[in-house]
Order: sequence, then structure tokens, then C-alpha cells
Amino acid sequence: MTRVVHYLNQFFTGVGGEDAASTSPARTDGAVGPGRKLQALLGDDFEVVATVSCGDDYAAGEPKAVDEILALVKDAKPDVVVIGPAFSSGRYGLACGRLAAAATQAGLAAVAAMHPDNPGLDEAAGAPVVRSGEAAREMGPSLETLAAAVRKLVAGEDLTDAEGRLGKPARRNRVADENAARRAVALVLARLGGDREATEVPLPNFDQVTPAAPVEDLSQVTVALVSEGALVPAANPDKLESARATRWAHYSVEGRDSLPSGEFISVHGGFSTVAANEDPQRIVPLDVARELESEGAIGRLHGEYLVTAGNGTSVGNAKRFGTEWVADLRKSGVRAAILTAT
Amino acid sequence: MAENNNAGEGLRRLVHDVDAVALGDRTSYESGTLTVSADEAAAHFTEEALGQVRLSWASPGESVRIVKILDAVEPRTKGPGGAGIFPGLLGPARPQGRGETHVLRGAAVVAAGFLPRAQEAVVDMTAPMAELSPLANTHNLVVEFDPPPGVDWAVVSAGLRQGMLALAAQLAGAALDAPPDHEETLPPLRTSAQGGRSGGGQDGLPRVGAITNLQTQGTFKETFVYGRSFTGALPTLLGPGELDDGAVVSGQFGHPSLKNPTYLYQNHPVVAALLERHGKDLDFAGVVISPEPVDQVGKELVCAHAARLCADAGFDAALLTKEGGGNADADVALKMDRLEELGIAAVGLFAEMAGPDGTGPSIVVPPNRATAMVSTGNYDEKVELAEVERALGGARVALVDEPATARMELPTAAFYGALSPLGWGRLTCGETVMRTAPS
Amino acid sequence: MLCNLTSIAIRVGAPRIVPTRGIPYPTGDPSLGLEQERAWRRTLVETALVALSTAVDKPTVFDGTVFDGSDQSDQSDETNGA
Repeated sequence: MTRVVHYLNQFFTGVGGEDAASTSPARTDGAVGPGRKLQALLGDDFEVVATVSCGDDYAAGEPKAVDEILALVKDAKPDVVVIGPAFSSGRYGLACGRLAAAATQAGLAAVAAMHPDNPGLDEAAGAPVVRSGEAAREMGPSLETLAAAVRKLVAGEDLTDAEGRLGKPARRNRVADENAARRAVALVLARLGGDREATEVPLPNFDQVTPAAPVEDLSQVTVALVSEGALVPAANPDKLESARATRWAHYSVEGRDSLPSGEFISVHGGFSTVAANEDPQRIVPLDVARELESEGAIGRLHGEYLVTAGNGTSVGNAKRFGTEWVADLRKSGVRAAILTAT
Repeated sequence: MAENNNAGEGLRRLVHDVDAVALGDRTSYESGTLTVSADEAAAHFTEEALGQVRLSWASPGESVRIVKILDAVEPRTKGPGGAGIFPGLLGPARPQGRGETHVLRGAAVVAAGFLPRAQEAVVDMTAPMAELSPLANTHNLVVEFDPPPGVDWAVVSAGLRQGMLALAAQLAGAALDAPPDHEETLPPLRTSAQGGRSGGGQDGLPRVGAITNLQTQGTFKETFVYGRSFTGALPTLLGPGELDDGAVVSGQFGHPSLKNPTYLYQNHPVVAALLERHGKDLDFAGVVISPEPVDQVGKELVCAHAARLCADAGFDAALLTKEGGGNADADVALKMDRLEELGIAAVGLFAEMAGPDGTGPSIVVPPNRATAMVSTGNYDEKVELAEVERALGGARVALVDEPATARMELPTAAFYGALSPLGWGRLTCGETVMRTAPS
Repeated sequence: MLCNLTSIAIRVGAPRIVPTRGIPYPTGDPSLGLEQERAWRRTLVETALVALSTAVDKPTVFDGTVFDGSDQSDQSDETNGA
């Protein structure tokens, strides 16, 4: 008997509509609302032993919400966690995506369902998500897709396009039959033969970055220097890594108008640091920034520079650093930053 | 030039298999067993630069881990004293790649220890390493060193390199009189001047070559061609035998999983794969080597030259390899796009940096137009290594701050040659992988 | 964003990009004398300030003035043939 725990929001569990969007997580025994249809579709080998619900505002907005929901899910000892369908509902989708990611990371089999355009898809971090219709009127077919995916997941099979899998599956290492050199020869012969689509690595899509509004008057604002050139005080007191950095650091430039050689070094592992160590201002241009500050070209130079090492940094970490830098700089009233990249 | 040394005559490899190894009083090769005299071997390494070097064997299946791995060299020679092998460093700097070359296959001379800008590179001689490093499958003669205080590290690096090449030649020299276990013949390079024209390869087969980008980022991160640093050079065309004879020697000690040791230049996997199909599906068109400049202007310059060289040499297609991470990807992507513009089909070998859970974008600098890429695996995925009985090369693994013999979890990025940009390995994360047609 | 490989910066969507002269020295140029290098660094940062006060709606490269005394031009040579 496969134990299923089902996650639904406050609306689908009958707690209430928008008025109940702030309800905190709760658990009931057995299947609720659409969960009953899900149970019927899954059949006798599965049992929806519990349903966890939460208000959409709470689930999407409270920092601890996902942990709390996951705890309730775990209490019911699931073999598989079924999440949604969230259709096009944004907050619900965010909650579902995050819960799918958290459950998967905790080692649980989990699958969520939502519409392909739901922003929650990005939160799932590689955890399985299958497509649902756009709105609740498509509950029937959406549950059918979800139930089929649950069956495959529990059978230990990968979910693919055929099961309505959304998002990018995680890239996992495995051993191919032939080495990369031979496969490259096969690929080039295929390409010469007319197959211009074949590839082992699909081209990535990058996020759209919305440009920040320009600064109206630089002489009125604080500007910060930030860098991925791994420039640190000579002893590297915070042990910034030379590659695959998992952290960033900040160092005071208060009262300084230069970064002397020998006091600061670059620990970046991706290039020759000889030039940078001769003159650290080849990485963090403090001298000219101070000059410009004293001339009034900028209002104030921020009292610290922020730094990490951009060598083999995973995109996930890089995104996190960027987000944390923005939060840190905003708190200090910084309006603009100059990022030096290597 | 009226006569090109590399035209007309290919190279003959006389391969001697190494099945067992030992340390002994005399260096010898007999019936597949390579015995090394530690004293004779140590004599190749200058004591002023390297201190007293220590030599040990690490063989497949033994419970031993080698850490801080620097370069690895396959024992090869062209005759007594080397007779031209490793031109420019051991032998005189003259074009090589023809005549006979003796190979001790299954053995490698491996240097392990600290050098500046080197990144921690690990190999275990036991599972799960067989697919994660070429060195997991060879009998490794590990050279450890302790430079006396005050010695310039550049002098240490050069001394180590010189010693390893001399030792590699000496070891192969022990097999000169033994009948080879295999003989392999490489075809001579035919340029378009000799009738190899685009689409007009032998029997109308497509002319396919390789472009191999060499890391050129200064001391401890550079590559030597005929004994000279390739930094600042323009791309040039080599025949397959030149790589075999050690024309390209590694002086690069960063990026462990993306590193191209001398051993893999001597046994260039992409060239080998092309030669396997030579005369069947393709006409092998040669190897263009190119530096990897660290600035945009430099990259565009070598890219333009490499592409022109490929066109002049009548390439219908090229396989591209690199050394390094994202910066090196930029060179491959630039060249792939430029080749496709010229109507030359391009395939690039890329490692992916998709994060520990594999969900990040695989490649930050992919080509824009050329789309054919082979995946050599995810850099960030973690692998657990069991505790081992002994370790060579260092006492601790700084990456995880553990004793070198301890059980540890490391990213694939730390294993020597795991994501080999030269195509040695079978690691991949492609969902669909290419299949070779049967011979 | 001050960087050398501007094609990458454009590809990943950095809105304001100022080209530098080398990966190992984003705000330096060791081929110049110290005085000239500092003057060049200042020009670079001034260009960054211009970029910060300019509205952009997509990745935009802000090329500073070509520095006097440098022998680098913005044009790459056209090669003959291919």
C-alpha cells in the first residue's frame, strides 16, 4: 500500500476563499476535496492518508511556511507527496514549487502539478512538476495527468515529456557507452549528414534582467564598489574560496584612498593574480573612486567593498550572492554599484 | 616550402604493455613488468630545485590516493637517450612525428605536490575512479618532492618538468630491445596542397580535423609547444605524430577535472577517435593548436586565424577541445560560430557547471549559432570517496580540510581529468548521447 | 559591469557594460606606465558613472574614449580571404 500525502490550498480544502488566504498549515486525515478524485484515479494500491493545507498568502509569503508544511507532511509518513494542481494560481504555484523542491531535497518522492506558465515552476529546482490545465474547471484531466505521474514516480521511473513533465530535469552524471571523443566524432558525422539539431547539451535560456532606473544625480548618492575578483586582505581572514565559491565577504575602505600591494591580494584561481597583487586597484579601483568622490562626481563612496570569487561559481550561488548584495547595499542606502568582473 | 618534414611519412608506434610494476636495483622492462631503480630515477631531478625526490608506485586496485597531482607523462622514446622525443625540452627543437616511437602503455610518470596556482587534484586507485580519471587505470610512478627553502617556484616547476620528461624517456628506453606487443601506424598529414581539398578528401570523404585550445595564462598555467610557451602565439597546424612525440607538454596545474596533462596530449582522445574513422567515414585533416588568450581582443585574433587555417587546410568539419572553465568556453564558442559562418561544421566538447543538484544552466558561454555540443559531465556533482590506506602527494586535502587518507566527499571538479575536455572520459549528463556507427 | 568578455555579459543580460582590457586586471592595464594606467582607470570608472546615469532597456556596452597614448584601436583587422 503506497501512502500518499496530498497538499492543497485553503480553497480546495474548503477552508475558505481569499478571506482564508492567511491560514497557517494544518493537516487532516484522509483525502479532501479533489483528493478524493485523486484517490479514485490512483486505485486500491494507493491510499491518501492525509491532506495538508495552507492559505496561499501564508504559504507564499511566510519565510518558514514551507518548513512547517513539510513537517506536517513528514508526520504522516508518506511514500509519495502529491502537490496541487495549482493551475495558474501564482501564490499557490509558488508554494507548490517550493514544497516540491523541499520534499525532494529531504529525500521524499514528490510531484507537483501546475500550468506551464505558473511562476511557481521556477521554484521547483529540478523536482518533478507535471502540467495541469489553466483553471479549476480542468481539474478532471489535470488529476488524470497527475495520477499517471504519481504511478510512474513510485515505480522508480523518470518522468518525461510523455507524462507532461515541465521544467528542466536535473543534469546528472552518468557513464556513457563511449567516451566523449568518439561521441563527438559521431555528432560531427551526423551534422555533416544534415542533422543540424543533434546535440547533447541544449542551449540555455537566461533570465531577462530588468535594468534599474538610471541615477538622476550621482553627486547626491552613495556608490559601492563590488567585485568577483576575489580581492581580500592578505591573510584571507574569511577564507574566501578560489573556485566554486559558496560565500562572499565585505571589507572596509573607510578612511582609505588606496589598496596597497601586499595588504590586499587576489585569491582567484581562474587567472594569473600577479598583476592584481602588484596593484590591487587593478581589481577594486579605490584610488580613482576616492578621487571622484572628493571632486563631487559621486556623493559618497560606500564604506565597504563586497567581494566573491567568480571562478566556476554555480549560477545558483551567483544569483544568491547578487540578491544578498542588493539587500545589504540597500540597507546601507547605496543607490548604485560598480561591479568589476574577471 | 618544397618539403615539409611532416608530409609523406607517418609515425609508427611500437607499443609495449605494462602489466606489472616494481621498484628494484636496476631499471628494466621484461615480459610486461617494468622495474624501476629509484636511485636512477631520482638522478633525473635536480636536488637544488627539488630536494630529495621520493618515488613510489600506485597501481590500479591498490588502496592508495594521490593528491596534489601536477602533470602526468607517458613513458615514450624514439631511441637511446630519447632520440628527439619531447622536442624543445628534452630533445632538440625539431619537428617530430615520423619514424618510430616506443610506448610503455599502461604506465605514467606522475608528479604530485605543491606548486603555486595549482588546484587540489585527486585520484583514487580504487572504485569509483575508473571512469573519473585516466590515472585510475595506469600504473603510476609518483614523484614527490620537497624544494629547499628559498627556491623560486618557477625553477621548481621547470626542474620537475625536465626531470619527468627525462625519466619518461629513460623508462621507455628499457623496452627498446623488447619485441612490441602492438604496432600502430599513424597516417601522414596531407594538407590541401597535396590534394586534400574541402569535400575532396580521399574517396570523397569529408575532411575532419580538430582544434585544440591550449591554456596560456602565465607561469604555472601555461602549455609548451616544442619547448616554448604558447602564450602570444598564433594558431598552427600539427600532424598527429607530433602530439605523439611530445611536441605539446603541459605546464598547467589548475582546474583538475578540466586539465589536459601531457599524458593526454600524447594520447589525444579526439585525434584517436578521428583516426579510428580515417579512411572509413572521414579523412583526417590534422590538428590546429591555438592559445587561449585571456582578453577579448586576443580571443578574436586567434579565432580569426584558426578559422582561416582550417579553411585553408580544407576542413569540412572540426572538433573543438579546450582547457579550463568558462573563460576557455568563450574561445570554443567564438571559434564554433566563426567556423559555421565559413560553412565548416563544428562540434565542441563542453563540461557543464549545472550546480550540485544539476539544475543550473549547463554552460554560461555557449555558441550562438553552432549548436552541436558534447557533454563531458557536471562539474559540481559530488562523489563520495572511501577511506584509503595510504596517500601520496600531500598529507591533507585542503578542499575538505581532512587527512588525505580519510573518507571524503568531493565535487567531480576535483578529480584529475574527470571531465576531460580532450574527450577521454565517458562521463556525461546528456539525456540523449551520440552513438558511434559500428566499424 | 566592468568586464573583458563583453559577449558573455550581453548574453546573460547585464544591462550596463563597460569593456576592460584584460581578465586578470579589470581596472588595470599593466602594459601602461603607472601614471598612464591610473589615468586610464579613472577614464574607465568615469565611463561607468556615465553608464549608471543613462537609461537603458537592454544590454548596452558603454565604450569609453580611446585613451591617448595607447596603441590599441577599436577596429580588428580584416583578414584576406576566408
